[in-house]
Amino acid sequence: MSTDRDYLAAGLALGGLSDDEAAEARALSDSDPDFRAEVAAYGEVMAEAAGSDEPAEISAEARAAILGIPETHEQETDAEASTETTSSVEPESSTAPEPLAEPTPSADRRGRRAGRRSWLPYVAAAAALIVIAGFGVTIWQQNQRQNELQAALEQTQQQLDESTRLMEADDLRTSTADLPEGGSVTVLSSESQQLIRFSPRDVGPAPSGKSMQMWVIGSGGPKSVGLMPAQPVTISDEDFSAGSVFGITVEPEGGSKQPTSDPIVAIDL
Amino acid sequence: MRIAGGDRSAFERLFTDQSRILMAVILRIVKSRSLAEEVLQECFTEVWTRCSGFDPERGSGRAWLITLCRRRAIDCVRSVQSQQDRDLADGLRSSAETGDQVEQTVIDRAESVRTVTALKVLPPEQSTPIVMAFYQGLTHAEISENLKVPLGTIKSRIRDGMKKLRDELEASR
Repeated sequence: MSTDRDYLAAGLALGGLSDDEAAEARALSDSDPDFRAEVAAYGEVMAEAAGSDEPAEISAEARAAILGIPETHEQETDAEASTETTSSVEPESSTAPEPLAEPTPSADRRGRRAGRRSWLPYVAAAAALIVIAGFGVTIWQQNQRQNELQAALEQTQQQLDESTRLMEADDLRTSTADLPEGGSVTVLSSESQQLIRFSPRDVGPAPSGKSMQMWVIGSGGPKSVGLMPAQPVTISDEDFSAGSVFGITVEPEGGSKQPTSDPIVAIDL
Repeated sequence: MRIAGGDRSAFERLFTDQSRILMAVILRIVKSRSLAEEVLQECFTEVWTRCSGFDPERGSGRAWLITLCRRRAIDCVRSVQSQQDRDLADGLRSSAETGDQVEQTVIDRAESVRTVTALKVLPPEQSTPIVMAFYQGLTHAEISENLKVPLGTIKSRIRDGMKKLRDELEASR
């Protein structure tokens, strides 16, 4: 790869090329699998570099709002998403390789002039590149899968450890409360371990336009611990003490920063 | 791909696994924590509603996510700057307090140029223009003007820095 092509591939992944350079880089990306692979590799490099940064904490309010997104937003269809995604692509850069392009008219004409035998080596080379790229993708996918399994294992192990700590706690408290609209919730808590285990049973969906939100209410006022999930969840990142209360309120869709209604469930922790 | 099929637990898993690093990427661009959380929420909304538009043939999910967050954060900063410019032009800035709030949301160059861990393998003359392009959304010509270094030199430093970074990261895998 020439010097200019190196710069264009790096610049297309990084961003910041001039309009002319970006157009040239995109044309190369459309027509040259080798160049496209270079752009994708640089995109991965920048993703990996960004991923090496010190992680930043997210507030409980933001976490609750984000985890409530599936409750409040419909998923778009493939066609809608494809149209939107295409239209939102910025001209400045793309970390992902573009789809294989149709031959350009000039390339097509050259191909016809050169005759059948002349394009056979290109087809063979392209096939070889696809095979090589396929091996690369497969290896990468295997690594990704391994990382995902490792993360899932660690998360499961953490949940198991927390459950064990909770069940063995000398000050374990268990309370069950019925919800006005049916169903019940069970809360296990331990002040010494600073753990709360929340388990819903036969709880229906929140009323239309509403979300059920969980709170830990202590001397400092209510603190959101997220929207009420359909599955059991362990809450380990909200401090509480004797006298704190676990509450559930009905809030506008997506949750609120502060409760806007009285709790429908209030359980002493 | 599971999220595209409406799998909420996969969405929660993605949030658990990736949100803190995505927040770090956004915070490098948008100084205000509350604004960064808004951008993060916007990105996860896009992940949930439009992830069927993600094509694994065109790159990894991680690169797609980081690019999405980076672009939305840069858009946010530009929007705030644009609003600030309009307010200045119209003389509508009603108080110093409002100005301070807007100012806080604008790129903090010292913060975003603070070297990302992986970029520490590069000398500052290579890492700085890469960070400015990636996190501040500046063109290479703007970086050249900003650093008062000829454009050709900036291009060479970006090219050489990206190659070295790629080699170093590949060697460490």
